[in-house]
Amino acid sequence: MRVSPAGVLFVLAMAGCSAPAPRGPCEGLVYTDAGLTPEQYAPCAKAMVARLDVLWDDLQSIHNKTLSKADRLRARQHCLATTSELARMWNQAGGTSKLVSMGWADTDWNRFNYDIDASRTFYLSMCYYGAAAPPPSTMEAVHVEARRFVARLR
Amino acid sequence: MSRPGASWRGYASAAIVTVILPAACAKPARVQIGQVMRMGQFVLRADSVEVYSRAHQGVPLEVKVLFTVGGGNRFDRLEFAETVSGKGRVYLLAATGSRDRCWMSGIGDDQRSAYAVCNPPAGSRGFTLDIGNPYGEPKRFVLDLGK
Repeated sequence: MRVSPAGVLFVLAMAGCSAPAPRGPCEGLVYTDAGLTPEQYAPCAKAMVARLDVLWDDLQSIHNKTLSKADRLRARQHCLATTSELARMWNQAGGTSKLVSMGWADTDWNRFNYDIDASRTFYLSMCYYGAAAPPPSTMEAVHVEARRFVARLR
Repeated sequence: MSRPGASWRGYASAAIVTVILPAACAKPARVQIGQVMRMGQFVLRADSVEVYSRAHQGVPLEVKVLFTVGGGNRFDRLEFAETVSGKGRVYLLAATGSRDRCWMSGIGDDQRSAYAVCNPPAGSRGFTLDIGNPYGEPKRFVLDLGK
């Protein structure tokens, strides 16, 4: 089959016109010496808390004995997929070294980052190892604190 | 009509010209303690080197190089040390023949200092640090540690 140069050019042009994939809320954040600005970080923070809420619901389903075994297994798979998604967002936002290990000018944000990190790590272990009980109140409190923090953001 | 195999010889010649020769000709930049290494927007300078033993902890020999890091903000510098260590890669070469991977990390909240730690075999001496530059040219710096 012979391919005309015009055809090749048309295909290349169409490839160039394809819309870029939409950026996630935690992508492309630019750090200053103070850390991230609240305006820049807030959408990402809210998205991460939303993922924690999903994880929390999944963990409740995993331990809900009134549900069928298949439903509980499905909840566990969803829980694992959500922890991966949350880990990706966390790393896109800068990862543990930038979000937790480095001090930010606004320490409330440091506390928030620590809450997210503690909750996500604990929920991951709960999903992965399928602990026999729902999350204890201390970890729930850290998650709730993070949720309250983003609710106060404009 | 071309002879069989001629095209393959052509490809081989092209590969040598475009890939192998430039790679062989790319010489690393040789630097000393106190000299500046420029990597993209960053500046790295080795300030001191310590060679000691941690035999009581099962480590016969340890080489620690302290650096000053400049350029970018403190979050950029944090990433810089991680990038040089992970993507650029740092190796300790000894005159006694060993080549060991080193690990580099930033220090402090301002990340204006960094260190590289290497663990060569016992009895090694005549050290140089081979630092990969993931930010462009030169591809590698060879730092004479003078020990």
